[in-house]
Parts: sequence; C-alpha cells; structure tokens
Amino acid sequence: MALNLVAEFLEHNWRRVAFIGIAKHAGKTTAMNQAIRQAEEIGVPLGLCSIGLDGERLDTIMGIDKPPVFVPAGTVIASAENALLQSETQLEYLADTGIPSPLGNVLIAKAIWPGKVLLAGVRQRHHVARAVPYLHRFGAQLVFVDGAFDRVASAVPGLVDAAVLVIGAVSGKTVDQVVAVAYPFLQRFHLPLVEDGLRSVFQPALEAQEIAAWDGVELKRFPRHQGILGLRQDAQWSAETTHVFIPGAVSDAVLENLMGHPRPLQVIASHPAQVIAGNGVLERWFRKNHTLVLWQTLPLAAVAVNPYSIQGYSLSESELFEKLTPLVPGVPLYNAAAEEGSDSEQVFRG
Amino acid sequence: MNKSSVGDSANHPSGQAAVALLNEETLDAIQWNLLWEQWRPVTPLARAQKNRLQPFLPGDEQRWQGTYHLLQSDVHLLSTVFLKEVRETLREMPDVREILQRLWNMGAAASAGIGMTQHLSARDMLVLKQFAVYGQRLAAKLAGQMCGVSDEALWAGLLRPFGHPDEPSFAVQHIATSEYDEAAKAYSQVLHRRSEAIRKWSNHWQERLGVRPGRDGVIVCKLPGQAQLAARLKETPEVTWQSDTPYESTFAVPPSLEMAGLQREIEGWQQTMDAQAEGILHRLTEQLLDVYDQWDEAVRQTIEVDLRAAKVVLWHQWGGCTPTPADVLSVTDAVHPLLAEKMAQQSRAYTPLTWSPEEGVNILTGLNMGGKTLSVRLLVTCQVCAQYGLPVPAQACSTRLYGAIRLYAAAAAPAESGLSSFGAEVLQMRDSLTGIENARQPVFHCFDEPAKSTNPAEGEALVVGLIESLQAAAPKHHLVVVTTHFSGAMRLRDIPKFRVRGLKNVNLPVAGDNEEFQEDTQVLQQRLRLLAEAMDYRLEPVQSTELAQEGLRVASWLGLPKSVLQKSQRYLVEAAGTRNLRGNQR
Repeated sequence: MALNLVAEFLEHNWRRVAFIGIAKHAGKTTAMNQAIRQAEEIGVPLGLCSIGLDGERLDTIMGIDKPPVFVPAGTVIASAENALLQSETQLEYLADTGIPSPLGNVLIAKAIWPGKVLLAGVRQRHHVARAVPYLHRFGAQLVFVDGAFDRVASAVPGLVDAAVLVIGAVSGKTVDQVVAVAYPFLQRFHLPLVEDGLRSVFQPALEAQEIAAWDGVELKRFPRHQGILGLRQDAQWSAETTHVFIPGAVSDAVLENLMGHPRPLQVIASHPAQVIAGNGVLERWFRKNHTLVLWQTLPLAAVAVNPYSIQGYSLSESELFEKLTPLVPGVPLYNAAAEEGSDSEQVFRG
Repeated sequence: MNKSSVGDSANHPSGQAAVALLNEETLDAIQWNLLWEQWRPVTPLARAQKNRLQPFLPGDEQRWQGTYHLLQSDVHLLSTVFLKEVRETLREMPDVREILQRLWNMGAAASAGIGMTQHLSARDMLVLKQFAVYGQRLAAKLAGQMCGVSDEALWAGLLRPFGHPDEPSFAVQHIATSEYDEAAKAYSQVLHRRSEAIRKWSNHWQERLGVRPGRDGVIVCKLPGQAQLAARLKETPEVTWQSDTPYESTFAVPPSLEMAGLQREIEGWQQTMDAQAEGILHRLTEQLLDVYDQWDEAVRQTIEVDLRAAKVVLWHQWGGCTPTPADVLSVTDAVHPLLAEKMAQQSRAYTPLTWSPEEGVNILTGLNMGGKTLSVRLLVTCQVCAQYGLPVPAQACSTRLYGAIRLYAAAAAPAESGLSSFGAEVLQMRDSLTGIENARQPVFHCFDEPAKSTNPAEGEALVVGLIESLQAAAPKHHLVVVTTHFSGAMRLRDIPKFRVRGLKNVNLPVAGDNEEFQEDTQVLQQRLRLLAEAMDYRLEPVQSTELAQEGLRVASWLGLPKSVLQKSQRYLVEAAGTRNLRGNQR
C-alpha cells in the first residue's frame, strides 16, 4: 500500500513541509507532485512556494528555472508577478507580499482551475517566513516548500515543521555510491541534540547569533564571521575549550580549522541545514574524537527514494531500500514514482 | 481629473513653510522628533502625509479650531475598542500612490492625443481593489462615527468595475466576457489532452529505445556508460543527433503529430485568452481613469481618517486636551509625555505644570534642580503641539497661534562657528530682539538662564539689559519667558515674576566632614529621589525682589563636603555684610 504522506503530515500536525533533494534531478518535483495529488484526493487545501536560495545561479538571480508544478484548483501559491503570468491556469490574485524579485513582487494567488504554475521569486529564508503565513491566511491547511536543488536551505526549524528528503539514483551509478552521497544528508537529521545543561550556557550566544566557546568555566564570544576567518587564530581562543557553538554554517573550512584542537571538542550547530561539511571532513572530525551536535533538529517526515535516473539508467529499488532503511530509524521510505498498485508502492520503516 | 490634491493636503492652506515658526535648536531642545514619532498613523499614505504637514499660523484660527472640534468629536465617539478595529482595517489598506501616479500618467498621455497604449497590471488591480474593499469596510464602520469621512457610496463606486466587490482579491475572470470564459474552458481542455498525448509519446520512446526523452524532447547519453545507447540513437532515423562532447552525446526526438497539433491549438487559445485578458485590463484601466477624481478623494479620506484616529490614540496616550483660544498661553497640569514615561519607569512621581504667564515678558526663578528648565521646555512643547493641531499634553490649555516660537537654551556653540558659548548666547539675544522688533505676528520666545557663560556681575547686567529691552520691544501680545538666578532681574518693575516653590520644610541630611564626594551611582540616585520628594516643583507668582537661597542645601544633599559648604556659608555672610556696609555708607 502506498505511503499516504499527507495523512502522515496531518497526524503529526506538520503544517509546513519542505521537499529537499540530495542532488539536482533527484526526483523532488515527482515527490512533491505525488503529495499534491494525495492532498487533492482527500480534499486538503494546499499552499505552495519554492525557495531558490543556494540553487543554480540563474535561479538565485532570476528566481526562475524551476519546472512548473501542476496544482489542483483552489491551491494557494506564492510566486513572482511575471512568473505567475506564465502559469497555465487562471489565477485569482489575493495579496502582494511586498517581497521584491527581478520578476516583480511575490504575489499570493489562488488557482481557479487545475493547471501548471511556475513558482519563483522566493529567494531567501526570510522570504519563506513572510510568504508562508499568507498561504495559511488564504486557506492553505498544508504548505509545501519546494527546496533548492541540492541544498537543504528550506529545511530550517521554525521555517518549516518537517522535511521530506528525496534520494535519487542520479547521485551515483551504483547503490553504494548513492548511499554514500545520501549518508551525510541523513546524518544531519540524526545528529544528537546538545545536552540540556549546556543550553543555559550558550543561550545568550544563540540569542545574539554569535559564536561562543566554553572551557567549563568561562564563555568567550566571537563575532559570527570569525568562523570563516579561523577561530583558533583568535587571541581569545583557549586550548582548554571543550564546546563551541556555531550559529552559521558548519562547513569544511570551519571544522578543518578546529580539527587540530588539542582536546576533544564538541561543535554545536544551530540546526541540520547548517551542517554543510562534506563526508571526508566529517569522517576525520569524528576520528579525532571530536563530536557534533545540534541545538535544534527538524523531523524527517519521510525519505522518498527514486531508483530511476534522468540519465536513463535505474538502480535496484529493493537494494536501495535495504541499504537506506537502517540509516533512518523511525522514518518511512517510499518510492515516489511508483505506479499505482505495483510492488514499488511498498513502504519501508527505518 | 484633478491630480494635484492626491496626498497633498496640509494643515496650512497657504502652504507657508514652518521655518518661520520653529528653528532646529528649539525643536531639539524639546525633543520634538521623539514626540512627533508618537503620533503614529498606520497607512503608508498617512505616514507620508504626516511628514508634509505644516503647523497652523496666525490667520488660520478658524481652521485650527475646526481641527480641535473634530478631535473632540472623535475622542467622544471613538471608543478604544472601536479605534483598534478602525486601525486594523486601515492597516490592510495598501499604498496606492505609485499606481495612481501611473494611472494619471496614462490618462495624461491619452488626453495629449498619444492614446492610451498601456494598462494597469493584474497586480495593480489587486492592490487598488484591496484599497477599495477595505476602504468600503472602513466607511461602513465609521458611518455616523467620524464626520466627513464615511462616504460609503464613494467606495462602492470605486469597487463596481472590479466585480466581486466583497472580496479583496482580483481575477480577470471576475469581470470576464463570455468569449474569455469560452476560450479559457477550451484552453483547459486542450491542456489536459496534451498531457495525455505527452504520456503516450513518452511511453512510445521508452518502449522503442529504452529511454524516455525529457519534456523538451532531449535525450542526453552520458559517456562512456551510455555509448551503446548513443550509437543506437545515431542509427535511429527519427532521432536527430545534436552534439557530441567527450562526456555526453545529445539527441532530440520530435514531438508526435498529435502533440504538435495540440501545441498549436494551445498557443492559439493562449493568444486568444491573452488578447481577451489584455482587453479586459485595458477597459478596466479606462474605467478607473474615468473616476480618477474619486480615487483621489478616497485617498484623501483615508489619510484623514488615519491621521485623526492616530490623534485620538495620542490623546489617550498623553492624557491630552484641546486648547481653547486665548490671548496668551496658559496650561493646567501639563505633563511632558517622554519625561513622565521615564519617571514612571523609575517609580518616581511627576509634578504636572500649571502656569499662566502674562502677555509680555515674564521671569521664572527658583533654586537649582527645581525644574525651571523643564517647565519652560514643557510650556514650549505644549505650544508646539497646539500649533500642529495635536492633543496638548495637559488637563487644560488655552492659547493663541504664534508666528514664531524660539527656545534659547544654553548650548555649546559648534566648533566650526568660531564662537564661544558666550558668543553663541549673545547671538541668541540679538536674534530674539531682532525677531521681536520685526515681528508682524505675535511671537513666543523663551530664554533658559541666559548670560550664565560669562562672569556673574556682567552676566546679571546683561540679563537685566536684555529683559528691559525685550519689555520695551515686545508689544503686549508677544509672550517672553526668561528663567534666571540673577537677583537683579527680580528687582525689575512691572514684570510678572514666578518661582518654583522649592524645598519643602523638611530636613535633608547633609554630608559629613569626612565623607568623600559620593560617586556611587546608586547612592546618588537615591539622594536625587529623596531630593525630588522634598522639592515642591509647582510654580507660583512672587512679589518679593529677593531670591530664595537654597543652592547650598541642594549642594550639601548632593554630597559636597561639609568643609566646602562651611566656607561657602561664611563667604555669603561676609558678602552680605559688605553689601550692607556699602549701603549704609551711601
């Protein structure tokens, strides 16, 4: 039996869900389209927007280069004025969000008929934060945020309630290659949370969005940009540091800089989307007895597995499920492109 | 069509500048920017208009009083809850200035014979319609509650061309012709048929080649993995080879005949619908242009409602009043909003100001820390509020419109001016005398302790000279207030004098001999609080020519060592003895 994603969302009271892929052409649109159809079948009014942050250059600059999305009548969408003009449905214009884009302001509109719409113009996280309340206000019970191609920019706690991660065969020629690419993405969502005792220590730094280092006695604070410049180069940095909170991206460069710290160090990242370090660096980080935890995590609502590659080949569906299931405990895995009634509709639970 | 009045109304009909009424130093001294900020209309239209408002000037008395009659009526009719609802509706009203400007330009181009080649966009229509929908709701709400701004018929007229007048949304469909509806229906059906055709076409290629082309008909073979597929495609007659790179081969497959036919049909319907939609938006633009003056009026009414509602909020916030006409300024229980707020945060009591200076020159004296400066600034603040038609922060106020208001407070002269503090003070005195001599309308000038930046003997002489000159220069209808410590000023005749009542008959403990100057902020704050409690800040008229001598008591309470105070006391006694002796000898 196919996974009813929408029912899962409603059961958990996730009203804002991001669809994110581990690579371009992973099958994110297919997964979202399936969820849109499910919502239509059970009569759940939808809201849609798409974030182009960190995506392709054209996407970031022009806010476009997204495939159109087919929406049921009554769907509320947030998109730039000129992108809406290219939609293949009749629209009822509901509000001007005032969010500027090269394609005109982002407007809120409702599809009068079913048809394709182009979602563009929402380019930054704070745009999503502004647009989503409009979608709810105009009747959307569930809001889907179509994430950037190969990033998790929209998977931010507070911005959305949960994420659907799409893993596609496009990421490798073998199942093992795909799993190797998917692993760090999945890991981000399953990193442990920071200990409660440390929360009160780092709370001021979180509020000020500053880097902070703790040596068990004193909390030293650093400006946010120091993460890029190199924390260990700062005169304030102490060799006795045991924990460091990084409000921004925990990148290869940040971890490389801290790698040589003489004692085990715990890095506290804000949320899964801020952990952007690659596999190789993370492997060495943990090998050195350092650790990585999250201040706040985001539930993975599901993992959509797409065994077909746009490049024309397909991988073993059963092998993909077999190898991915243990990596996502408690999370349903499904094939978003499965044909109705086929064996591929099976749902696995991690 | 009359564009000139869009968002252009002002308090002052003649458009006279505010420069003559106030100068920067006066506005800075009373922190006018902070007070002005507290008047908060909620629409972008009214906020922009607020910044263009001019104060009322002599000659505007009738309109000035009219403004206050409206404020009284609004305060009476708009309950706090109702006011909140009104402002919530106002907040929904978008800024239409830029769109109306474009609409006007289109109309101007049409009138000039160029013809109307452009029309407003769907987004423009949405914004205008939302403005009108919420405007209509506001007018319905305000019917009978706010005079002059509840013209429901006006708003209904604005909404009529948009269709679906109750909904704050816009769709071409709302005003579509039957041709448009038919085209849209056909378009929707053909889109559906094309989707089916694409699915069939995709399945066909999957079966034939083992690969699905993209929706654009392109197949990319990654090399070397798909080299065999690429070779096969090159042999397939219907497939067009496009390019080879060391990494990939690219091919294109043609759409099926059905797809191509449907695509042409889609484009045809799309063109029909686009043309229909263009025509609909064009006609709607013309309809809006026909009633441009009504949009203009709607903007005016919105601005007026917003500014007036914000004034009522300010009235409640300040505990304000409306001034009544009089020959001279007088306030009862005036409270400086910023200071009162600050003192309330510090749990300190605030003594309201009640003061009725007389026409002409007035002197205010009193001990240090007695609130003379604050009293003068508050008096000026009340007058500036009155001239802007705002609630006056007092229980009662009577006044007139002045042509110029100046507060000359001692301030360091800017370094680039080349003036010392004393030089700056001299220029202030000159400015005031010239201003009064040349004034064609009543003016209100205040000096806060003039001539204190030179030696006391000459300073006193200058103040006496200044007051006598002001008295001679100022006809009765001017109002001048001078605060001073100089006893010479108190001996001047025929000048009303006021004083701060000063310290109550209470014992303030004094600093001990061995007590160091207290720098502990907490202790100092505590002493200031007790001093404030011991102080009677109220003003009263005085006949006496002598100044109360309480400066040493205050200095003692603030922590000046006893040894210093004893020497100061001895000097005072000796100086008084010397003066008496000289007096006897004369």
